[in-house]
Amino acid sequence: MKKRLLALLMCGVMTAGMLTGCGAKEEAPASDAATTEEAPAAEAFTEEAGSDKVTLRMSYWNSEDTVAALLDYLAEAVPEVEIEYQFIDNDNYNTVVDTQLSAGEGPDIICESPASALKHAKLGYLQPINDLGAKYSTAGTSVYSYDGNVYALPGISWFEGIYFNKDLFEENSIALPTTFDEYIAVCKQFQELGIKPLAAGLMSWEPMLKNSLAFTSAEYFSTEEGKNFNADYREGKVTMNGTLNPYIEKWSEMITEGIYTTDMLGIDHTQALDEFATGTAAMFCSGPWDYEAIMAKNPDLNIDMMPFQGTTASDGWLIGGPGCGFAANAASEHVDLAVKVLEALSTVEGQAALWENNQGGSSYLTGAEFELPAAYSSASSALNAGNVYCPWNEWGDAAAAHENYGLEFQSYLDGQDLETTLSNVDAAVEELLSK
Amino acid sequence: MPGSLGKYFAIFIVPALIIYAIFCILPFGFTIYYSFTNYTDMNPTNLDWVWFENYKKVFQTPLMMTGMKNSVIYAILLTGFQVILGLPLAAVLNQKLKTKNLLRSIFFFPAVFSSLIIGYLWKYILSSADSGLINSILIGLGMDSVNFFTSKAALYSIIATQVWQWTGWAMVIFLANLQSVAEELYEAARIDGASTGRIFFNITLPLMCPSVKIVVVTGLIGGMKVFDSIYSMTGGGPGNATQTVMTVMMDKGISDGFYATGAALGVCFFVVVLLISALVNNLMSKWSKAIS
Repeated sequence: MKKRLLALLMCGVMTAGMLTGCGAKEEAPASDAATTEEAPAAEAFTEEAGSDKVTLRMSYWNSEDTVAALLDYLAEAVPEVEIEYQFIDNDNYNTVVDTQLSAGEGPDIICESPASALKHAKLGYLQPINDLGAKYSTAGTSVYSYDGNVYALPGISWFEGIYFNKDLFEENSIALPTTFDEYIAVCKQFQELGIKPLAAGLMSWEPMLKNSLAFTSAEYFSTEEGKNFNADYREGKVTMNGTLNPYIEKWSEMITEGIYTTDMLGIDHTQALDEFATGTAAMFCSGPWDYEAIMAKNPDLNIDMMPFQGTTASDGWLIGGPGCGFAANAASEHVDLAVKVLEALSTVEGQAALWENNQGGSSYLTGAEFELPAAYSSASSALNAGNVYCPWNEWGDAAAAHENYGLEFQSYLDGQDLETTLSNVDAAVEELLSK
Repeated sequence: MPGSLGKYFAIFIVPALIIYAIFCILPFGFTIYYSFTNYTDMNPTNLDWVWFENYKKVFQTPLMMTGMKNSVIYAILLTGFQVILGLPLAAVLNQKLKTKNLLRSIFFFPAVFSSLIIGYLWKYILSSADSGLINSILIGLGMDSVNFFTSKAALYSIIATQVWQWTGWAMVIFLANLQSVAEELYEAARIDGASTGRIFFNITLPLMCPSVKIVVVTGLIGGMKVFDSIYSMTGGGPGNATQTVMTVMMDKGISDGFYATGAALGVCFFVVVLLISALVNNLMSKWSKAIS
C-alpha cells in the first residue's frame, strides 16, 4: 500500500512539474529607459541583464567570429545594451526565425537576406528605418526596401570570384584570362600539365549557380537587352527557358571541356577547399569568408582573386551584393533600443568594426571607405567598375528558387537536358510567386 | 478496471494520455486541418478552405512523387537486406563459436552511433576527392575510381551504408528469437538425418516469424521516415535524386513556406505507411497461422 501511495505521489509531482514546465514565463518588468509605448509581445527571449542594461538578442547565420569586432564596438557605443549573439545555422535560419516572428517573438535585431527581409516586411514583422536607411547608398538599401520604406541596413558587401594560385600561374607562364574563351584555354593548359584547373565541391548546389549566373551577368544581364530580365522574372513576365538558353549553352563548355565533372558531385566544399589549399588545383571559386580557412591550411600559399569573364574582354564580374541586412523586430519590447543599436552601426566607426571581420567587401554607408586587401587585387577592376551583381537578389518572393537553380544544374551536369533544367527552375519560381 | 492496479488505473494512464494527446493527436489533427487550407508563410493567419487543392498538388508535383518513390525504394531495400543478411548472420552467431560474443559486438557496433554521424563518416569514405578512402584504395590498386554520388548511384550508396549500420541491429533481434527456439527440435531433426540447410528452412525460419515481423514492420516504417542519413550524405542531391518524403517535407513544407502542401504530403504519407503496415501485418499473420 505504501509503495502505491508513493508511486501515486511521484506521479502527481511529475504531472505538476510537466504542467509547470509548459506554463508561460513571467517576465520581470522592463526598466523605464527601455520601455516603449508600443510594448509588443516579443518578450520571451529578452530580459533584463542588470539594473541598467537591457539584453537584446541578435541572430545571424554566420558564426560570432564574423562580428566579433562589431559586438565589441556596440558594447562601447551603446552601453545600456548587452547584445546576446545567437548563431543559427544557415540551413535552418529562415525556418527558426520565421517561426519565432510568426509567434510575435524572435530576435530583437535580425540579420536578413534580401528575400527574407521582403517577406518579413510584407508581414509587418520589421520596423521601418527610413532615416537610417538614408545614410546608405540606394544600391545597398534597394534590396531591403518595400513599399517605399527601408526595413534593413545593408552590411558589408559580399562577393565571390575565382581564387587562383599565383605561383602555379607564374611557374607555368600562364597569363590571367580576360575572356571566357581564354579562361577555358587556361583550364586546358592546366589539364595538360596534370594539374586540376578548378576545385569545386559540387555536392553543394552553390558553385554552378554562381559560376553560370556570373557568366550570364557578363553576357546578358549587363546588356541593354537583358538588364531588366531579373526584375521581369520577379513579376513572372519572362522565363529562363527560352531566354537564357544560348548563354548557358556557351557556359556549358565548363562541362564539355571537363572543367566541371560528375566526379565533383562526390566532393563537398571543404574537400574542394583542401584541394586548392594544398596546390592540387589551380583555382577555386569562393569569397573572403574562406580566405582564413585557406591560409590556415597552407600559410605559404600565394593567392589572388580574379573575376568571372564573359566572351568579350571587360573588367570582369563578381557575384555578390549587399551583405546581411540588419533589421529591428517591430514586435520587440525594446524596439527603440534595437534601432539605437542600428544607429550605432550606421556610423563610420560601426562600419569599420563590421568590416574588421569581413575584409574584402565594401560598405554602403556614405563616407565609409576601406582599403582592398592584397588578396583581391586582381578583382579590383571589377569592384571599381561596380560589376558586383547577384541576380536572385532581384527575384523578390521567388529568390528562394536560386537553390532550385543550383540543384537543377547538378542534374544538368549529370545528363539532364538544358530545356528541362531551365523549365524546372521556371516552375519553381512560378510556384513561389503564386503564394 | 483491468489488471491489478484497480481503481488507480486511470490515475496512472492519464498523464501519458495527456502527453500523447498534446504532442501526437492534437498536432496530427492540426496537420489534417491545415492540409485543407491555404496556409503558407506569406499567409499565416487568414486561412481559407481550399479543400483538396493541396492533395492534387502533392500528386501533380514531380518532386513530391520522387520523394515518395525514393522513400519506398529505401524502405524496401534496407528492410530486405536487413532480413536477408541478418537472419543467416544470427544463425551463424548462434552456433558454439569461441569468438561469437566478440563477433556479435562487432556486427552490432555501428548501430550504436547516430545515423547522422555514420552519414557524415561515409560521405568522406565514399568521396571522389583524393581524401576519399575507397577511391584512394581503388586508385592505389591501379583501378578506376567510382563515383558513388551520381544521380543514379547516390540513393543506393546511401542504402548500402545503412545496411552496413542496421544489419547488426536486426541480427540481435533475430538472435533473441533464436535463443528461444527449443534445442530438442534441432536434436530431433538431426536424429532424423536433416541437413543444415533443411534445418534452417524447416525449423529455424518458420519459428523466426515474430522477430522477422518486428524487423520488417519497424524497418519499413523507419525506412519510409528516413531523413538523417540523406541529410548528412547528400542533402537530397545531386539535383533531387535522393529526395525522400521527409526531405521534401522539410524543403517544401517548411523552408519554402508551403505549410499546407507539406501538411497534405504528411497526411498522404501517413496513409501510405498505414497501408504498408497493415499489409505487412496481414502477411505476417498469415505466415504465423501457416506455421501453427
